[in-house]
Amino acid sequence: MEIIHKVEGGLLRIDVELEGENIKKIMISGDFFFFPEEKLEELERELVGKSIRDVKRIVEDFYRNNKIEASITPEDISNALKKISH
Amino acid sequence: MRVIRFIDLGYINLPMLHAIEEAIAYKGIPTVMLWIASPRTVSIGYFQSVYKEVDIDACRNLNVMISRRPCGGGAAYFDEKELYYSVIAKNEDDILPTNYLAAFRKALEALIYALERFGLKATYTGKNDVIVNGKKISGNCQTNKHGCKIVHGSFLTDFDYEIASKVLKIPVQKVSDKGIVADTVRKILEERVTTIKRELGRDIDKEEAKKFLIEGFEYALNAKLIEGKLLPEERKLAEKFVEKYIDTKFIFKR
Repeated sequence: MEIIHKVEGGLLRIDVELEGENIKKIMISGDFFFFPEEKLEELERELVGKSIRDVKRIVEDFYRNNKIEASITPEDISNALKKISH
Repeated sequence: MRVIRFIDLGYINLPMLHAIEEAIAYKGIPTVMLWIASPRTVSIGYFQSVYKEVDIDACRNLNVMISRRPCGGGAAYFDEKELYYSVIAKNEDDILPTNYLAAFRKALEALIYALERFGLKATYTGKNDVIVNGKKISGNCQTNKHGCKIVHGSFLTDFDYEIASKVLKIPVQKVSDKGIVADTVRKILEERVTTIKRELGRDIDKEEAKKFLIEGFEYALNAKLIEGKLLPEERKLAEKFVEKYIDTKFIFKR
């Protein structure tokens, strides 16, 4: 499933496959900025196997622990994923 | 006053440009470069999906190269009609601020200065674009490599709307008071993007634009630009770094 979510810092495009509530596969793409760049793939890996309910907390922790500077916020990512729970 | 090396790179392909920027960052010599992209190329942001942003068949038919940048931002079409700049500076040299938006603001002051020299009123959007009359005239991106910040972007002296509209996938539906209407990609690009040529109604001499940009960077970075060259060691490093930027696995990774 593809989610397109327009936010202040760019256009988020998330491809996600779920197994129940859990994330089986996820790819976050789009025209945003995210520093350090290579950390985004690490974040994707971190989200695999987790419940979509926990996304906001996981992404917030990831941003804090990795000193992420980005044009998209943890809330942007979790709001985008909320679109699939409706 | 601080001295910064200036390099007029001339025509350069994008993978090699990224490799040269990285080589300069590796050596840490503060540098401003001006360059022209050749061959024509669609450049996608580091986090973009090439399949979603680029019409790959159209690129093949029109001989347009596809390249993935080491930095974020959106897909853009590059060719010889436009002029581009790069600034590379060590974090501790205090030439560019470490916060990424502050770094954009500072580098883009140079472009605004140059546009003003052409008699155009330009403004920074607060993100990564410069606009004139509500339309984008410069798009920019940045990354950090080897303890340096690299900021680069476009300075649209002119723009090929026709080819850009064929190779970029841009949603053509928009919501208006008449409901959802579809435009052509070309019309959308003409609405969103402008050029110095279009604003002034005359052809732009790139040498004139270069002169204004050099003045602009001297003003924005509070420095004197002194013409120099790439060091042999930087060239050698660039030959090594280019491998990852021409790797199709990297370009098509998402």
